[in-house]
Amino acid sequence: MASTSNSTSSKIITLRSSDGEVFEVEESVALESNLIRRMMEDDCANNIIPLPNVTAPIFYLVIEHCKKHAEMKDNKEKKKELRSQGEELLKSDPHTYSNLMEAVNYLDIKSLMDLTAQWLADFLKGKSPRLIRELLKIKNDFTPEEEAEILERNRWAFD
Amino acid sequence: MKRRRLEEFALDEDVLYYIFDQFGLRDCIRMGAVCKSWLSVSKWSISTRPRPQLPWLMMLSNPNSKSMRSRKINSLLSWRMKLFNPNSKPAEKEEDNPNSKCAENEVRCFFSVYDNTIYNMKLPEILGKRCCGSFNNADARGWLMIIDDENLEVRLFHPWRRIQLQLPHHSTLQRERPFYDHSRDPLLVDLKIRKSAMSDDASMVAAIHDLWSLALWRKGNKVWTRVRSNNYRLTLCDVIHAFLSILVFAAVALFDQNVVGCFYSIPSKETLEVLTALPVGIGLISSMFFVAFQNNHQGIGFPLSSLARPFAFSPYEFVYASTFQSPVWDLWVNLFALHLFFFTLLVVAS
Repeated sequence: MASTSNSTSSKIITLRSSDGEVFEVEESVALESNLIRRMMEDDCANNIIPLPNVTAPIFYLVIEHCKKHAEMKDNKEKKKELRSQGEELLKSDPHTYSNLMEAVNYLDIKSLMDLTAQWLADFLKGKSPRLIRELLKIKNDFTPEEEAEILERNRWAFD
Repeated sequence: MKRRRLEEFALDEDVLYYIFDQFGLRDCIRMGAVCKSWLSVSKWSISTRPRPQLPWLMMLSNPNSKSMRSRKINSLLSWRMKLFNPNSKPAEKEEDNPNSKCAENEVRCFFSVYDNTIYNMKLPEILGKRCCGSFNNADARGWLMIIDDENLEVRLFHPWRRIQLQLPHHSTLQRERPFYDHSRDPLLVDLKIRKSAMSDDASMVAAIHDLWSLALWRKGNKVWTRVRSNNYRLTLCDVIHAFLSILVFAAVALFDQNVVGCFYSIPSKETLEVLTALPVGIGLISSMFFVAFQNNHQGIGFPLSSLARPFAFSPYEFVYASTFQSPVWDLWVNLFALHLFFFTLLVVAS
């Protein structure tokens, strides 16, 4: 990916988010997304590329992360910084984090997907279901009986 | 759709699956208790785990547990104790407290090599039953073969998915023995399934129960299909072999003057002629036969070949079991027959 972006780094691509905001992004950054890459290969690069599933604030986040990720390629310090930022976001605003993940998934940015999934996995690992619900503000949609049954069935996993 | 998402942490199923896929089994099950959508993804992830995992080892059950199995062993042990030492007191009687019994019985201990810990699983389904096989290939991963020592029912059981599959009863696995009911004998009850294997798509099970046959089960079958190897079936060739062996023995014996003297104290001329010609004829016929029709069967005094040779399903659902051949022995038999042949020729020449 890096080799292709170096040769055509000057080009600017215009993207439009679902709420109508228009972004101008360097091609090197935009090409991280497989979705945009496919769209460009399908020859709509001269027009504005619409992104109906991504809102503007989330798209800002994605671009920010993409840029940082491109910077940190072989910089351990930056890597750590990015990670701590991601975890911070996960703790303070899990809803935005989930939107970020959805957007990354939609835009099909493999590297960023791996990173965000890894952070979330590390965050979840070893935590009890109740704690996870509390931290991520997930609503418990089980009835008490159902929940008790799940816990009882796999008691070994919850001890 | 978007509105709902604005309020809470929500991820698409495939994103969740991607995350759950990085978890071990235990964490994956824990995530299933968070909410309904997570539960369905966790079930999905558990059921489609393709990559090889480090094994879980089932520990021996707690020696103090009051399961039926250990009860049975205790009774057997005390019976034996009585046999050898009639004055000894019987083993202490266990209190019959149903609650504590159930609570203890249901727990099986597993040692996970992956995270180096022991997990206690509540498995009421296999209460008082014994595990006699486990399968670890492809889709058969995680299946256990369970046998009930009381009524000899055989089942397949999957501990994570909590599925049970009834296998045909153990009695259909046994050799037909009209005079002897094997299953009733408490001391022989351990002679059960020695080895078992499952096909990769978990639709077929093979088991070795006794030394001479395999038993096969396909999904939907009501009984075990027993497959007997032709190698161990007696044929006409075996009968002739045995008969000729006796004749060879007689021929050798007739070379001895004392034996001849015992039967014919004063042999006539004709008998003498017959007595010299007969061993040569027998030697000729039997050695020709031995060389022409070889036999793989071992005689009395040879140990049984071990069953511990490879026994598995190949990718093509083909079963191979060990064979009982020993080529060296065949060679010796044939060499011996040839020697006998030339020896008799020599005798005739002299």
